[in-house]
Amino acid sequence: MAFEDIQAIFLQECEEGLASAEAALLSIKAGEHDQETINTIFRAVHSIKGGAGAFGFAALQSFTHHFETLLDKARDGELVLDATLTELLISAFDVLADHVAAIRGDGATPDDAAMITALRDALTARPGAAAPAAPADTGLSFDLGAMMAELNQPSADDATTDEEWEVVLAPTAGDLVNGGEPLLMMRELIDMGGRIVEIETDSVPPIDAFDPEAAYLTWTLRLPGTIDEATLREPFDFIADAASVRIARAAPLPDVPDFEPAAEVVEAATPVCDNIVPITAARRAPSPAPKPAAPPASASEAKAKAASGATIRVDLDKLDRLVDLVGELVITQSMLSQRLLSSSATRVEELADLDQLTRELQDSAMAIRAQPVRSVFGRVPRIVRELEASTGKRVNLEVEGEATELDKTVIERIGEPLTHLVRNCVDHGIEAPADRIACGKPAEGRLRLSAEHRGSRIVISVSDDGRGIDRERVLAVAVKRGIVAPDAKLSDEKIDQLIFAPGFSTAQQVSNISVRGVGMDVVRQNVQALGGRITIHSTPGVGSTFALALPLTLAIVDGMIVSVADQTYIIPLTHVVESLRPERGAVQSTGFGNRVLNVRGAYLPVLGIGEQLGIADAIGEPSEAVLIVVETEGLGTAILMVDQIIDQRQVVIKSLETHYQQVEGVAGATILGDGRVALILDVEGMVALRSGGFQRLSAS
Amino acid sequence: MRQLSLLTILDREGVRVTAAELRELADAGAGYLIDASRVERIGLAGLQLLLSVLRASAPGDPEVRIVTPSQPLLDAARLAGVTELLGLSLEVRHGV
Repeated sequence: MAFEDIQAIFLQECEEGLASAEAALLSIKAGEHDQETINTIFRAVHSIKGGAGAFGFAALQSFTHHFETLLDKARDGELVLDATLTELLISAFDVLADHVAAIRGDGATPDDAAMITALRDALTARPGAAAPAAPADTGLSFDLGAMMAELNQPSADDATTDEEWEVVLAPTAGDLVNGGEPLLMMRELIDMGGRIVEIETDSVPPIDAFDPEAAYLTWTLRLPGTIDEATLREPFDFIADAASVRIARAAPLPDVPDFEPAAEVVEAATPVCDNIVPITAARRAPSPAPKPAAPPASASEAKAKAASGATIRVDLDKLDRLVDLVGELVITQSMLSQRLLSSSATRVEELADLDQLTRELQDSAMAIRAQPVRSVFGRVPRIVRELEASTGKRVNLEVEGEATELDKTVIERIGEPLTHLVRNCVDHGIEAPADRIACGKPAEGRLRLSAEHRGSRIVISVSDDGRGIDRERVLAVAVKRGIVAPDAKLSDEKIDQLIFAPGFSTAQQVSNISVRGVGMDVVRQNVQALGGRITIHSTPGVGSTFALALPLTLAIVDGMIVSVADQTYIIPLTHVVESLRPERGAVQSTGFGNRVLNVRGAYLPVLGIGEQLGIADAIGEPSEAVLIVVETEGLGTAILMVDQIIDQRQVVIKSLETHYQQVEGVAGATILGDGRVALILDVEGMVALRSGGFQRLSAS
Repeated sequence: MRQLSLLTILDREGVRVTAAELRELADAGAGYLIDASRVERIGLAGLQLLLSVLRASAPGDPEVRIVTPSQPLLDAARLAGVTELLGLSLEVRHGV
């Protein structure tokens, strides 16, 4: 495994650690915490520190050292977790997140001098607490010996699981080549709750016979029996020599009442290999500085690790290949089904089974790409904290549905729109504390972030209990900017939608907090690019809710199957508002071949798909065709004219660019059950092709 | 007493270079100190080197001792369970 790959894993683990630490910090802030909560933060910071040291990230290692020292005192109960200390921990967490981001290449290394001073001050401000020393110069302030003894203490699992795992790690010279580092494996084992019970050092030669290429040490570790074997073997996936590791169930170690106390062992130890004191004895010794709080390998952590043992890391390309193949299978199954049906083989029971299995396989394949929205929601607490600091507003963030899963690509692309919506709610929605009190609201505003399944979609909502949308002002701005006609009469919903209009958000309307290089029009555009929709519900004085309805996956689209002459097309349902058949003469010509239809007071352009794509035999008379009203992002509402609607179903998206080239007005292709290829229309592009000849008209 | 400062990064190449220097010191027959304050990155090879150099052949041999160990060295030693073997226990317990 390349060094960069290992580092990538470290960064991923950092992100996971930061997420769990932040959740724990928020629990503390909400007054809902116990000892395990602070232990969670400690473990996360401790793990990041360890990795930082291994990879040579000195700044990160130094900062985590100071952070960890304070956390250590807090979990020992030497420091009281009051509001001041909690705020300090949260601020320190933000700096830690910046350090990790800098390593990832996302921003510069933060200036943490002030925060380190604050962490030191927090220690020295308490009687009996010592300030931490810089790790690289003056050493440690916390008792690593005690921590080591803790690691060697029996975990809670010992009492409940008779058969622990015994792992014997005996690296060979081959394990050290190409950047191989057995200590990284050791770290993973320790993190799983492992403890060293024996170290074999007899093979270490004197310096005159020392070979830098050789591996001399052999460790024997015990790990909780609750860990599944696959998880246990993960650290050794890339080990060069399989014989380097032996894993087996082991009976519990016998109790040895007359042990040598660890403290004495430490003091009396002579630094020569011949006098090695077996760790087996030390592990049974009472810790010199007992910490009743859960040690790094607590029972709950071991349980969590065991649970995480059900996960493996898979290269995304492999996953996409699997999803692609399943898509092909779905298409082939559909074709087979149609062929059998057309051959009057309707009583083939296996066909129904195959259909069921294919659907389940497809669902399972899609589920593999699904990730909880927690990774996106996890950014919000910090954004809110920053906004509180910059606006002077107070915000109580409520998060719900973090475990709701969504396609990985959607997750990756939804971050920016969500961030902007949150900024918008705090900046424009929630009032300043004094204003809120004046109108009878609590000083602290409420921002609610939620995710939930609704049918084949995920709905992510951002709600605030602020002032709501000022529709008079929005309409005035829209008129001033030429977005709507001065005499336009718009419903409340239509006025709310104006904030998504291109050109509505300008520096004069939004502060530097909300702008951040992206307006609400871009938010909507990003959501629609994902096949999603965004809606607003706002009540003046009560608050606003922005709801993002997103597809579960980008590999499948809900489509309306339509025909134009002998061709079949798919119109994504996300664009479809309604379908209708007009009376003869209802569609009026506006000259230059352009036609419009008055739909409940609004003149909408009518675009014939046949004309657009040059299909000669398409129905030309609107009253004999079917008109489908579609919504677009930047070009408003329009009507697509097709010959007839055939069906409505999910289709597997095939990239046209990958297999052919990009075609204007076409988003992709799919293969139908009868084996024919159907193009998936790019509604936005299709309308844009003819938008030059139209102008939106107000019925009034 | 003579003193050898360890390199910042004790990877295999660093260990190879350092091992040669330590052999020279051992051949000189006098005791010496190993200054480990600059060590920023150390793996198994580096720890083994230190264990090797501290391996006493007989009572009365010249004293060899690691002094001012850096945090990364202490962390690596703790992870490998060789803190005591490297004579770093007191450093850990009382701070460096």
